[in-house]
Amino acid sequence: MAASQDNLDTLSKEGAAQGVVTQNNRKSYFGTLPIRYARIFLLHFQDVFQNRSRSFVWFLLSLLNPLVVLLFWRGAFQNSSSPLGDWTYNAIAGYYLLLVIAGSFLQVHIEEDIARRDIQLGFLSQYLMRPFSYILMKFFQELPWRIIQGFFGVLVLLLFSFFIIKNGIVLVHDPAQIIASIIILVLAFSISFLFKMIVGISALWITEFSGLQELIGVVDIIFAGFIMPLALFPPFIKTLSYVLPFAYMIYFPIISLLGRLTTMESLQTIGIQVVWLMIFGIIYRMMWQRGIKKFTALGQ
Amino acid sequence: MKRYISIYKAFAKMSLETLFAYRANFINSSISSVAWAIFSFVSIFLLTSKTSSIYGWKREEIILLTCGYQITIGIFHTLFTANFGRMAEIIEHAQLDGFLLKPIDSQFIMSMRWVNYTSIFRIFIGIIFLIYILQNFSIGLDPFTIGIFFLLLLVGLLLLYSIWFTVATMLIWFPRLSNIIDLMFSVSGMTRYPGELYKHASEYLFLFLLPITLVVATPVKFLFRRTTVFDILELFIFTLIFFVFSRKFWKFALRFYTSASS
Repeated sequence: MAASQDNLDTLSKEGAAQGVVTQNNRKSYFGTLPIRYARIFLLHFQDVFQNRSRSFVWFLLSLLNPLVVLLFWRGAFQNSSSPLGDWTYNAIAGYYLLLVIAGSFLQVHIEEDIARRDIQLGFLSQYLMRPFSYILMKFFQELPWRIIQGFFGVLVLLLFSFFIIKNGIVLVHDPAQIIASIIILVLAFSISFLFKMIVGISALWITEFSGLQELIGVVDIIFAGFIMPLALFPPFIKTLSYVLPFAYMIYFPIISLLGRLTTMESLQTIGIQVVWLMIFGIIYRMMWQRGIKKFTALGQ
Repeated sequence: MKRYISIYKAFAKMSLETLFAYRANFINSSISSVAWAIFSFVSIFLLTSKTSSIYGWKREEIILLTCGYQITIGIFHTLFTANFGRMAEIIEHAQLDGFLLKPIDSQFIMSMRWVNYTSIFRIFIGIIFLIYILQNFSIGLDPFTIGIFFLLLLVGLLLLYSIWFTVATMLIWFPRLSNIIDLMFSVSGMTRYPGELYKHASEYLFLFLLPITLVVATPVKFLFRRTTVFDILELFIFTLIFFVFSRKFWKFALRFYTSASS
């Protein structure tokens, strides 16, 4: 992470320089605020480009598992014509290809950076000194990674749908449903981000962080739909997965894009997503306010 | 050889001391090891719940593959993974000099310096599920079959190690690409599916992945007596080739290592 460190150092110098101006002229502070975040965003974009081969390997990681499972289903479809009810082979292929995109675009990985770098190594104090909101800075640090990875995912989807999967993949095409899908997608990203922020700052209390992280990782893979569409789960696990928040980060955006949600179901999904967003928002606020006192109390 | 055994004993002892010294780390890796083992079984039970056979593999045979995978990967993680995990850092921070200077084989110390005891849980979980599946589907086994199964498993382990070491060696040229080690975790995960999966997808893909698909499938196939002499020969030959190659490749790569002080 040496590169990102350099960028942050440049940032801190800039921040400090501009911070002086801020003290004198609050009006210009608020005026330049969006530009500042845009600049953070662009700096981290450079960081991602500097690490493009790393970024590509991360992408390969999210590509591998869905494709292997897709090959598994291909075997199942050769044996019987419709082992999965109304899920045809093309629908399943579409699901796993969108899963590649969802896994690379919607799955936020900010928690490790927060727990290890900011909290355990104490870089958090640097952020607290700056005239920025911590959560927004983290958001703009994460966003470039997700955009680039999502872009790789879209390329793979196009490649596959043109050359490999016959008859193509049917995606949502009704205008109202497209809008609903976009809303679901944005909400899914927000929930995913807030959730990982909470996991990250939990390191203020928990020393066994990596165990927690792995545990959440496993639960997430099962209940977000990474193994297979949740609709195909045995009833009990299916119900459980609809109650937990993970499906609303990955699974519902995918099936919405596949056009498998009715208008009613779309609205219901959005409603539940908003509820989760509020719950996580409140939890994050509470944890941040208490945790930050704990952090300064440690004298970092 | 005797010297190496006593050195390894010392390494194992030091790792054990570290394990007891850092309680949080011990809890963390135990949780993660058990969680991933359980995850493998949950996912394979879910995947096979909708289908009775795939490319001639019956449901219980596919689950047995996961058992074999757990045991292999459990042993692998116990003995080697911690070392591969540190390799990128060692190379990037030019600490490799210290290892190369020691009067000991550099491949040996790079791949066996640390032992991760918590992965032993995974081996146990694998064995428990293996016994459960064997009994549940009433697959009777004699001690000879079990003996050969574990022997083939060890050969597969050596093959897996050689592949990992070859990939990790590339870190000498690309030390910042430390996440290829993470990628190898996923690649190893591919061993828990039948090789036919890749064969039917594309012949090229299959040829590329062939060594990886042999690691677990060959020993497991022996359990339900589907292994041919050819399969066993294939496993041995690939293991030999990859092991020799991994050594040669490491020696070759070291020529390109730019240390800190030179």
